[in-house]
Amino acid sequence: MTRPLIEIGEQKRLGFFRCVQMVMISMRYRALRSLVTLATLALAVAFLMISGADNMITMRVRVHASTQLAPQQLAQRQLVRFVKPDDINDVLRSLQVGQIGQVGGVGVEAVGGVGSVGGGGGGAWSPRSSHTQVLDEYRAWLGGDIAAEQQVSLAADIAVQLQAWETWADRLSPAARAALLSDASLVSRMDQWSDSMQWERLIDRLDQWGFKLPDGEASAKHFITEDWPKFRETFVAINTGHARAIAAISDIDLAENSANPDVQKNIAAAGFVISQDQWTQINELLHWSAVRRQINEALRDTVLRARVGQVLGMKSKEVGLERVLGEIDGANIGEVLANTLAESGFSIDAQTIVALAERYQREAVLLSVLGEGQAIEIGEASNNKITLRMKLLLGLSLLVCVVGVSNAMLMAVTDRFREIATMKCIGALDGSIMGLFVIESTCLGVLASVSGVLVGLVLVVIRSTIGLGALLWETPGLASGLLLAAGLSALAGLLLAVLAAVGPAWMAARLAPMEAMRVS
Amino acid sequence: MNEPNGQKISNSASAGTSAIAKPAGSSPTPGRPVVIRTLGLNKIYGRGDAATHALAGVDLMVYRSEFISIMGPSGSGKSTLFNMIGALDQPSSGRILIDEVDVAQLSADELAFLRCRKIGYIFQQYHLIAYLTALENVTTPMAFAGLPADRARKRGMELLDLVGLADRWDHRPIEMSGGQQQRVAIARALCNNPMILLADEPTANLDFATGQSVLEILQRINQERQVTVVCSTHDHRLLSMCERVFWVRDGEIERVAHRDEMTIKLGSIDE
Ligand SMILES: Nc1ncnc2c1ncn2[C@@H]1O[C@H](COP(=O)(O)OP(=O)(O)OP(=O)(O)O)[C@@H](O)[C@H]1O
Ligand SMILES: [Mg+2]
Repeated sequence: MTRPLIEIGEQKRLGFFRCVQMVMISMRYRALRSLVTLATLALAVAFLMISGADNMITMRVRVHASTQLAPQQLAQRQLVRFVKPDDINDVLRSLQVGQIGQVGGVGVEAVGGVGSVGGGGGGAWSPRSSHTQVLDEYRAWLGGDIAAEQQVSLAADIAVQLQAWETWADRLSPAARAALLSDASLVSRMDQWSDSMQWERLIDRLDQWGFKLPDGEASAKHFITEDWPKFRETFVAINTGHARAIAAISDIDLAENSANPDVQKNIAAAGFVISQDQWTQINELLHWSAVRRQINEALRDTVLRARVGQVLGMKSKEVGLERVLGEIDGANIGEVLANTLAESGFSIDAQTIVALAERYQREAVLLSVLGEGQAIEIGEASNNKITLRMKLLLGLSLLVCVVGVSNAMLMAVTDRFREIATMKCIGALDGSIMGLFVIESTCLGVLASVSGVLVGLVLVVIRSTIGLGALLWETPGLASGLLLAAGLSALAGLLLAVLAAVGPAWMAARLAPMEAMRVS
Repeated sequence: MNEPNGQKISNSASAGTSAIAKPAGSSPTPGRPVVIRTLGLNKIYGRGDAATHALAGVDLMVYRSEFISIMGPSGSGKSTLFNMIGALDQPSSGRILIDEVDVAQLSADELAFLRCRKIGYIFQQYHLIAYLTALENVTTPMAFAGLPADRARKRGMELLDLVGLADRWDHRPIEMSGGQQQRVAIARALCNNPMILLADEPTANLDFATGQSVLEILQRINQERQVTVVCSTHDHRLLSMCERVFWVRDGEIERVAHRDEMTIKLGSIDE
């Protein structure tokens, strides 16, 4: 065989620099089209950025607002407790929520936990959110008093044990159950059994019927005769404390005497552990509610209402405490209002009025951020709710972004199948063609992502500033959150742009040149 | 590459007729290499009722440094045949051998090499890249071949000068007439010194004088560089230049005529 006439060698890939050059020429040639594609991409990225950043801001601001309001709310609840104690059975019920599915195991483990509770509490149970909430609330209320906290924790552990017993009793045959509990509830039977005589009898009876105790005899005995009485003691103490606190403060005006060391001592003696910080909160609360009461009283006067209405430019019918406080936006109006009140014989200085209005308005903003009727929850239940909504919204905007970007890129690329075919006819490698499209779509993607993120950032900041005002800027972790949202949106936009361009280009490049020509 | 082609005239006498009679393998002109060979080439566009049989069993051979013309009425399948022998499209059935190598066996890489450096294409629809200037269109295949940019530009200008478009080097296709675009396409086809030149109606859009100069260019590269030229045309001037003419009708090769026979009946060429 002679040397072939047509020697076939290896075709080279188009160099990076040449690719960039060609992409530049091509983009400049269809500047308008490229601009339209760019704008569409940028819009999609901006959309993603806005919804992501918006969600992030909402979440952070909410958390911020709830931490801002939490001490005040806690003080409020403590105030309520001074007047009306919790029903101890409600507390017990809340604490009892354990892992019902694995009672047997939990029972045994919890006994071990309770055995060591004397020192620090904490069994192997994993509480659910309502449990956590109650515990958290009590912890906050106890103000970091370790001994008291251990008591609550111990009570929670024992409550779980009690539930194990209850489940065990439920599994007995009706006859055995009746004989064991008769008409009494498990709790009152527990009280009886914890007497050592009764315990012996219980064991005898169970032996006769051939029943096994849920956690083995020794640990069951420990639970019933030692832990259970401790449990009762704790709650009796808390209950008594409530009662005594009520007795101690019911005949004095708390608002006037809360700063009085004797009142504080009384309340502490009743079993309430309240830190100095919390007292400050409570005092402030009492102070402001006194001021409010005063103004409210003053506004009952029709003549004064009409005058205030004139000052604030509203009908006298509309003049109410909340409306008035909402309208005051500066020392001037406060001054005028104070003078008006003074003329009618109520002496509240302008400074106090303005301060009250500021406090009220800030509270209103914080509450509006948290949503109507939303309780301040220290637990994580409300956070989960936000996350679900956030996921939905984000998913939706991601979908819009995907559709927008891939549509724009697909249109830009399918338009150019003819060009791809021509390039193949004159000897371009599939790789060279892909190089061109990767570079072009990366350029477009980067430009679009940057501009889209910037546009989105400006819009979202403007929008949030209008909606939240100063609250937005005092929220911690905002910058890092915005940066994260921007980075993720830009990355998503870029990846989508490149994928949506490279996919169809690859399909066209793999065809024979004239086949690709026919596709277009 | 540079081996002389002494047998060009002496052996071509019987080539035309036998190309149809017994195409496969048995070359009637031993010693003259076959550059393009098709075996039972079929191309069907579309499917079902809409199917068009653009090529129906085409067997042909083109020898090295031959100048071939393909003639036939519009829609007879000339462009389709071009795409096939240029390895630009897939046949429905049959084989295409370039220098006795089945193009179906070439990898994408080898095909790109072949299209870039060994075959020059002049398309009926020019197929220039819209956003590139005349010069850039001409230099692109050289870039694909790995030629440095400055040398490519120099050669591109020479080629544009050759086709009489040196002053239009920075015009884009839409800024040029059909004839000018066609000449850019010709310059592009020549840029990598192909071994085979496929020209689909290269003079269709040119006035008499320009067409003449294009034909002279084709003839010159055929004679000086032994480039095999396959050229479809309605232009009768070509008939005097080429060695053989394939007459195509309805996707089949109806007749093959040698130049010697044609000069006699040139007057009655249109049928
Ligand atoms: N992409 C296509 N889809 C369907 N049919 C096609 C396609 N391309 C060509 N054909 C058909 O194939 C046949 C041959 O077409 P082809 O373009 O090869 O003709 P031609 O000889 O080059 O004609 P002309 O002299 O007008 O250029 C025609 O009947 C045409 O309708
Ligand atoms: Mg044609």
